[in-house]
Amino acid sequence: MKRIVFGESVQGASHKRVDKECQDSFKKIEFDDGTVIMAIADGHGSKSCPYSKSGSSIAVNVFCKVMDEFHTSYAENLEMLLTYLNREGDTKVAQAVDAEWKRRVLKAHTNHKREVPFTEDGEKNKVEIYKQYGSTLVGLMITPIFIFAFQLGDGDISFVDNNGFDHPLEDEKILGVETHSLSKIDSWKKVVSAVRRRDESEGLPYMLMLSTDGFANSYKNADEFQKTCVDYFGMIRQYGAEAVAVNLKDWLSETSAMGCGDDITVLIAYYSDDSKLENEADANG
Amino acid sequence: MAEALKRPGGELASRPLHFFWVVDCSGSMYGEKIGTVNHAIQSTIPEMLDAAKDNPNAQLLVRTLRFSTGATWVTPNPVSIEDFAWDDLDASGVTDLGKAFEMLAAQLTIPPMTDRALPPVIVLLSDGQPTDDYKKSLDKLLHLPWGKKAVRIAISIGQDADDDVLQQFTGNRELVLQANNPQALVKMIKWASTAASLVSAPASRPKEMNIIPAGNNTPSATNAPLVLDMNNIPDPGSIGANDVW
Repeated sequence: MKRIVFGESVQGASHKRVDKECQDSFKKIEFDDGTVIMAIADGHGSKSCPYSKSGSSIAVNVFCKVMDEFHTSYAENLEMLLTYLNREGDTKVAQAVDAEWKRRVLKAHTNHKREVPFTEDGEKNKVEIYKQYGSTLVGLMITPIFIFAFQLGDGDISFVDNNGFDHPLEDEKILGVETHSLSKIDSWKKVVSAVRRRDESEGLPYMLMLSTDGFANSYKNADEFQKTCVDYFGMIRQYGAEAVAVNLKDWLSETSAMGCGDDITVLIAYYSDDSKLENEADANG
Repeated sequence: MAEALKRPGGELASRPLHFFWVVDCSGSMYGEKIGTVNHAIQSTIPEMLDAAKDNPNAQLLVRTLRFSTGATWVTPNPVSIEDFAWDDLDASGVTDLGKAFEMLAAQLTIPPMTDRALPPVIVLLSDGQPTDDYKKSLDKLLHLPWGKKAVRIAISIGQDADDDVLQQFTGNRELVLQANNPQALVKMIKWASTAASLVSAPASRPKEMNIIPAGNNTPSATNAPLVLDMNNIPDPGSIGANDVW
């Protein structure tokens, strides 16, 4: 079995027009035992969130760190980790992510000597500081025996194999431009998570994709978005992951320009049979 | 060198932004008031068109709903701003605002709205008091997901307009714009028309809790104050103060 994890973030077309930086971030970690931790985050970008690029960067780092710690603790017994995440994914895991994100945001705010807002009582107004770093967070932990999906705020987790498209986890859809955010007090309460038992070498080839909402919002409707995920899978099968990775940035820029104009991040983990992948590569010269 | 591949995927589309002019055409609007409304809205079209061109990632769709004795869609289907033309309205009859809310609500459900749309903008212009039972249909409108999210602006024309009713619609006193003379009405209509460009390039933001005061079951205007810059609403007191309807 072969695994390839790759992704891109692009500045949205509407952000380019006003020279606003891309506020998305992504991160992946791959372990020797085959486990992958991957995360994307979408900084809010509104005027009240001037440091949301930092917020999204902190978010993906925190998710990877927290899940890395769980992985390390349970490396010898992934069955126990499966049970734990199934039971505590949207409680203790979510609380750990929430608390660590907020701790790092306060630290970053201090380190950068940014203006500190105060409450009427003269206390440091932490709520206002968190708000300035607002971000969503969507992550996956893919182990040899299960997949753990985690989501706070908008974005999509998609699964595609030869049978078609599936959503391993669906968050509450909020209309308009609002989203659940790490910046809110007790943000962990809005986390949704799911664990699916799955042998990583079963049903090859398959693809897991994380994407920020700029991707789905660029398509005419949900059916067109799902068709797109299936098409990406087909492109990887036909041309190989490396060729798709090379083209991904241009594709996403074009998608944003012809779609909703928002920043877009896509992070893909593609699993295939070794021999078949080689055959595909050979076939494509 | 790696091969440049054609982008895969489904049909791309900008996000629709529905803009509704909802105009009181009752008998009390007859004459200068409806004439000013016709002229002012007509004059906003080029500016709305320019704003739409500046943001190709939003598709601005405009519609007009008139109400007097009953309510009627002047523009039966959403029309792209590029194709939108203002048909002059005349005025006669009573003020069936409830019927207008009912017809708006029918258009703000999903479908015909889609969940990927931008928050709609509704600009309501009225100079009088509702003559039908508006509360039930307003309540229905404001409890629809897109009704809650809509940017709702009202223009209160003249001294006899019922500002309390208009505030129930906007959920926010500041978004009931006062137009007591023709000059103010023109300015307020122009200001309201700019809401489309502000909504068309939104940044995401954290979801706020909808805090509804005890005893008030009307959803607050959760979107409008955060999308619109209410500091630049024209000051009605400074516009032709000696010329009052």
